[in-house]
Formats: sequence, C-alpha cells, structure tokens
Amino acid sequence: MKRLMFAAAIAACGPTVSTAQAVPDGYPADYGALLQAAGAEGSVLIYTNMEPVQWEGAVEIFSELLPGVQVKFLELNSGEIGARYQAETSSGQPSADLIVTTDIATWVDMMKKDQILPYASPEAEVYPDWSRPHPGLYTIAADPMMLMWNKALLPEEEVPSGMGELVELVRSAPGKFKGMLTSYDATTPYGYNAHSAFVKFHGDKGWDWLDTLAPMTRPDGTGPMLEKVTSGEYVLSYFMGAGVARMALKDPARAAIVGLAPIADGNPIVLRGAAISKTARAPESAKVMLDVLLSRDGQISLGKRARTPLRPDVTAADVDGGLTYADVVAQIGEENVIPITFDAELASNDAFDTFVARYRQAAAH
Amino acid sequence: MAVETTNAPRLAAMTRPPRRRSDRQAVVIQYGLALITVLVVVGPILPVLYQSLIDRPIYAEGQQLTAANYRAILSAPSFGGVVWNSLNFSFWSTAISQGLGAVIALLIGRTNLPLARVFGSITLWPLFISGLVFAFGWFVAYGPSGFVTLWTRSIFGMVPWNLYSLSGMALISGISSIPVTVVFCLGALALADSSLEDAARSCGARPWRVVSRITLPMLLPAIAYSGILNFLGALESLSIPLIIGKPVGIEMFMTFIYMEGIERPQANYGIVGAATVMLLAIIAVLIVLQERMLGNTRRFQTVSGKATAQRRFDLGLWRWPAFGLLTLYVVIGILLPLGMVLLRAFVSFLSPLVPITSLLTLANFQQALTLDANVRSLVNTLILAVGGGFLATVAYSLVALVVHRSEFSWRVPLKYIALMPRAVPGMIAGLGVFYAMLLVPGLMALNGTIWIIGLAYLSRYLPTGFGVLSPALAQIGPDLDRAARVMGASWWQAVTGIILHLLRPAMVGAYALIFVAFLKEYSTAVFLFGPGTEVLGTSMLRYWVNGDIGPMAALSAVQIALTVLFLTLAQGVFGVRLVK
Repeated sequence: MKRLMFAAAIAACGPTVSTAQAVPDGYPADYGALLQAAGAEGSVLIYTNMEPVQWEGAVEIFSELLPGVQVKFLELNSGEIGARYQAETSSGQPSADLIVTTDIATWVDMMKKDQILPYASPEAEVYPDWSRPHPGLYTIAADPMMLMWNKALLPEEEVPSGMGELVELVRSAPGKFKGMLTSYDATTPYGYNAHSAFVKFHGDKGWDWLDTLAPMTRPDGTGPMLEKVTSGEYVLSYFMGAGVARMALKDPARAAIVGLAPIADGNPIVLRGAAISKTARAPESAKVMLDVLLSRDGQISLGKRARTPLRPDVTAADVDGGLTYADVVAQIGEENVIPITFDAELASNDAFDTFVARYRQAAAH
Repeated sequence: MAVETTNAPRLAAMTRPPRRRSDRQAVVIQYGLALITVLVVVGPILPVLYQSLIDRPIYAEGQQLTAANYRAILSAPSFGGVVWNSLNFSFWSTAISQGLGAVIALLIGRTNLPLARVFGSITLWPLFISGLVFAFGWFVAYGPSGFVTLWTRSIFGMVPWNLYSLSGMALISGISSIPVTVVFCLGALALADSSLEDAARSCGARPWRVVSRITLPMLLPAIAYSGILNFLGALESLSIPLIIGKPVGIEMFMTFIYMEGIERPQANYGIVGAATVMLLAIIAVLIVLQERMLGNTRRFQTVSGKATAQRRFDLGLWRWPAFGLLTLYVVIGILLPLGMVLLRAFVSFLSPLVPITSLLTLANFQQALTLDANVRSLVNTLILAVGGGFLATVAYSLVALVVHRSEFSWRVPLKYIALMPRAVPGMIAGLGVFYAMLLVPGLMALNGTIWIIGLAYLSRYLPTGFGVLSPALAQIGPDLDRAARVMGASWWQAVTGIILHLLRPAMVGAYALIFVAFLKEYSTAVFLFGPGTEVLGTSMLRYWVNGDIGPMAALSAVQIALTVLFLTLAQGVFGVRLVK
C-alpha cells in the first residue's frame, strides 16, 4: 500500500521528473519534449564561416543539454557555403542542418526560395526587430567595422573620431596618406556591403568623402591589413573587421602600436545570421543550438572569443573587456550604428555593378 | 621501261601479321586504361563546359543556354589589358623558371658543384608550401616595409626593387616554379649518357660547347613539358596576383575571372567555365608548339641497349663562382622569404618597431595543432599525399606508357586528354567533380569520404605526373623493349618489367611533385570535403581569410617539415636519389 502511494506521489510530480536534461529557465514547458527528440538525432551538421575556436563555448553549453548529440562543423568561406548548400539541396543530397554565416546573398537566396525553417526561438523577444528579417532567421553577432591605425605614424591628437574627420585630415595632408590608407576591396562583395551601407547612410556626402578617400586607399584583406598596419606599411584602415583586431590587441605589445576605435559618425556593422534549413535531417538539435547561440550564456561565450554579441543585455563586463554591440551603441549612439541588413538589393548583381562603376570613378580621381 | 621491283619489302605493302594472344591482351589493357583516363579527366570537365553555356549556376533551376558568358569576357573593356598583363607575366615567369631551372638542374645534377645535394634539396623548398604563403614570405621580406627593404634602405639610402610591380610578381612566380623545372630536368639527367658528350669532346669541343650543344638540348623535352605546366600555372595563378597585384591595381586574367565570376553577390560560374574553355584552347596550342619544337623525339634517346655511364662535369675554375651564385640565389630567393614565414610562426606579430626577441612565442603552434579539426586535416592530407600520391604515380606511369610506348591507335588524342586538367582553374574543378559524382551512377557512394577527394586530385594532377614521365620515356630507346618482345614477352611484360624500372628516377620525381601538390591542394576539395575529411589547404586558407596569420605560418612550417622529412625517407626507401 505504501509503495503504491509512493509511486502515485512520484507520478503526480509531473513530466519534469522523467526527462534527464534540464530545461533552461524561462523556456516553454514543452521544451523538454524537444530536447528528447533532439537527443535521438545523434548528430547535428553546421555550415559556418565562423572559426571552430569561436564555437567552443556554445558547443560546451549545447553538450550539457544534449550530451548524446555530436556537433559537426563544415567551415567554409562565405560564398562557398551558399553554393555548396544550394548544390546539395537541389540534387537531394544531405546538407546542413544549421547555417551560420555573414554572407548576405546566401540569406537573400534562402529567404526567396523559402528554405528557412520558421522556428520561433524562446530567446527571440529581447533582440531588435531589424535583426529578425524573416521567420526563423536570427542574427547572433554584430561585428563592427572600425578604424584601426598605427600609433607611431598617427599621433593621438590627430586620430580622427569618424569618417568626416578622416576626410578632413586626408585633405589637409594628401602626400602623407597616399597609398597609406586601406580598407576591404569595395569592388568585392564583402567590401561592397560595408561601403554601400555607408554611402546609403550618408547620401551624397558619402560619395563626396569616398571621392577623396578612394584614390588614397589600397584594397586588402583582413590579415594583411592587420599585419601591414602593425608594420607601418599602412597608416590607417577604415571599416576594419573589429573582431580580429580586438583579439590581436589583447596582446599589450601590439596594443602599444595599434589603435582601434568605432567610427563616431556612422559605423557599419556586419551581421552574422543563423537559421535552420527546412531540409535539415536533425532539425530539433539545430533548434537547440540556435537557442544556445541566442541565449545570454551563449552570447557571452561568443563575446569572449572575438565575436561581438548582439544581445542588448550583454556588456563589456560580461565578456572580460571584449567588445559588445551594447558598448558600441553606448559609445557612439544608436543613431550612428549602421547594421548591414540582409537586403535583396545588396545581393543583386545589378546594384553591385552600378556601385562598383561609381566607386571605380571615385578611385580614379 | 618496266619499273623494277625490288626484293626489299616496302613498308606500305607489308600486311599486318595476325594478332597474337599477347597483342590482344595489350590492346585490352590499353583500351581499358584509356577509357579510365578519359572518364577521370573528361568526367569533371564536361559539367564545367556545360556550365560555360548556361546563364546560372549548374545547380540552379530554369537554366537556359546562352553565349553571354563568352561575350562577357571577350567584350569586357579591360579584357585586352588583362590578357596582355597575364601573357606578359606568364612569359617572364616561365622564362625565369625554365632558364634558371635548367641551369640549376645542370649544376646540381651533372657537375662537381660543392654541396650539390644540399642545394638540390633547398631548391625544391618553395614548392612545398602554398603559393599564398610563399608570396606572403616575400612581402614580409621585400615589401615596402619588409625587413630586407628597411635594412637595405638604412644602409644604401634607397631600394632598387619594387615588389608591387609586374616584374616583382613575375620574379616570385618564376622562383616558385623553378623546383618543377629542376625536378623534370633531374629526372632526365638521371638517364643521361656521357658517351655522347665524350664523343663531342673527342671531336675537340670545349666543355662549354659540349654543354650548350649537347647536354642542354638533351634536356629540351623536360624543359618543354615543364614549360607548358609552368606557363599555365602562371596564367591561372591567383595567389600572387591577389596578394601583390590587387593592392596596386595590376589585374590579371585569373583575377579578372575571379572578380567577375566568383566575387559578386551572385556568383557567375558560367564565366569561370568560359575561362576554362579558353585555357583549354591555349593548352592545345602549347602542345602543338611543343611538338614542333621537339620534333622527332628519337634524337633524345640516351638509354639504349648499350651500357651507359655518367660522369660529372668538372667545373674547374668555375666551381666556386658557381657555388657563390647558387648560394646567393638560394639565400635571397628561398631562405629569406621562407625564413620570414618561419619567423612569423614563432612570433605573436611582426613589426620593425618592436624587437623580435620580445615577441617570441609558441602560441601559434599551440593554437594550430591543438584544434581537433586541424589535426584531422593534417592526418587526412598525409594519407592523401602519401598513399594517394603513390597510387596516382603508378596510374600516371601506366598512362604515360600507353601514350609513348605502345601501338595504341588513340595515342595522340590520349596525350591531349592527359594534359587537359591543367586548364581547369582550381575554383571550378571541385564543382565539376561534385557534378560528375552526382551524374555517374555508383560514384555517389564516395560522397563525403576521402576517396572522392583522392579521385579529384588524381584527375587534377595527371598532367603533372604525365609531364614528368614523358620526357624520361623519350630518352629510353626502343631497343630494350624490342629485345624483350623478340624474346617472346608480351607488351605488358616488356613495359612493366623493363621500362618501368628504368623510369624509376623519373617516377620518384613525379611522386615528389604529386606528394607536394596533394599536400597543398584546397580549391578542388571545397565541394567535396565533409566534417572529418578536411584537408590542410582548406584549414590554412581559413586562417588567412580570418586574419590569423600566426597559426597559418605555424601550419606552413609543419607542412615544410613534413615534406622535407617525407622526401628524404622516400628517396631512401625507393633507393633513388633525385640528386645523385
């Protein structure tokens, strides 16, 4: 009799006792069922252009929730992710479960072809509307493109606070800056995104500034820009991807030579999107990983590893002095932040060609 | 007057003798090999050709045939200038690599140069790392704020070179291609016969005349084949033009194709396909030129039924000046740039403003080698390079034997087919293999495994292997296999029992080049590798794109060390030295 009553009491405690995984706070009651279903999937495949090192924290949190699920990565360059995904899905081959990339064309394509699973994450409400352009498509990081300069060649009092001041500085001493400025190549998609968003933000004034800056600028890639500003081959880089620079500047020896600051009059932000594929073989695990990335702990883990968390309640104190979106907003004001959203226009070859033609004109001055 | 008939059999009137069983066996083997070769080469190229004729990526829906891709390239306003730049660059790069390469091979392989073996090893080092990394090493050493540049400026007040120019780029490209020429020539020199040179000496020719009239011309097949590969390599190179040419606006054919085809919001693979067709046409032209230049290959035979001996030239008074010049080349062209890469692997960053000793660290190696994915990619790449490379070398040798050493009716087309993969730029080769995999029944089972990557590499480097072995085969006279056939051996027994053994130095040379190529390759693997089958090249490129130059340099250092180790071992195991 006692045993029966004991069993009845246990049963009355409810389903929360029967699941082994702990449901995170504030999540809906049926999340336990989702965790169970995900546990049965065995592995989840993620296509990403974010380095594996930066995923470590998120993978740890994920593994605590779903110890039986193996996380597999395919790390590709931005353009390759979309091409490979489309090639595989159009021929019915297994492809990604979760895609995490900054490439705008990939997202525009997927939105147009309705390939995104419309999953409503419990973590979604705290994020700004502009970061959720499509049901199921979220933004997990917002990496600012900032000013980076060589402190020996550009003394503190001359360092410009924004692009306007940079243009004035260059106009006052063109000989000093010719060939000594650098940025991403505006005639390739990555650089085009930043420059185009910048011009859109400022209007005609933007082209006026680029007319001055473009002839002085040498296009280069992330790594070379960092190496060459450090060595003094370049004086200053604008629209420099801050994630890499910030990580490098953790070394005090490097920080003594290289300076980094947001662009006060309009700082473009590269958005890193994340979404689950409709043809995913492991959609439940993908949902859990997405939630981890959007959660406060997940965002903090990104911030500690050179990515800039977007979640508004994550500050520098949370990420060991790293960079967060909230801090950038605090430094330059929300109105001076230019998020490069996943617009169809940025993914159209025609708009690209028009911009490139105008930019080449500016560079030929 | 009646025409006198002679008793001498006229070739035209000879009837073919009835097919023997061993001849049938030879025909079966030859057709089989030819068929496999055609499948492996043409399989990936056909989707690329088709891609050049449609208006959207091959995997998109609603494809329509169009000539727009060809029009876009040919009518682009910058096309003329871009082609001129490329041809200029490729010409000078090839001139440097072939000219210097042949001389260096000669000095190392046939003279009594001091420390010849050491030079032989070091000369090959630029080949062991990716073009990207080598170019990086150059700009750290000789770029506008490079260490050597700053040191030279502080002493002489000026710097006589400009790396960011067409000539600077051609120099780097040439030097990084010299190893290919050297390997080709050393393979040929290993089969050289001093009796020809002795004959010249006995006629009163001075040593210089012997070298220029006999030794160097005997190297012509090796120089010609490596010339084709190097010229095409320069034409389709992307890394040097991207790192050094782009910042100063020097545009080449491949960077142009890359910009128009890949670096746009919506990639246009059709343009890359059209570029492939153009490169295929160029290859065909080059092969025709090469045939003309070589003429009748009988004059290159050095290995025949008679015993041969090799003697090293005595350089006499020229010994030490030659040593000095070679040392200068090795230090300036190889050790300094590579040294910069090694240096970068051991420091947290490089800056003339900060003393290097304060920046030394092992963190880059730690970061690169403790990552699971990197260790996996190292292991995978080693498997591909060591095992896959060996299988590939054997396969390529068989193809070379069929083309040069048999009566196979389709020999000549097979030769063109064997050289075709060189024309396909890496960025689209992988897409071609991916599509071949989808279309060929049964191949899909290899998806995501290391085998499909191996197959793709096998296809891509057939020209390299074939190119090393062909000149060597030209040197082996027909007397030997004819003697075997007379004794009753079948074609297969004759070529594998005799010719293949004589080919060993060239095969080791081919294996070295294939090993290195498989180790470095990445673009072909982009569509084919999966989690677990990553390759070293993709890991290194990711570091570069993300700006993590330190770990990239660390991986390069590991790559060089592995290659040097392996080649030393291989030469010991196979009992053949590249440099005697």
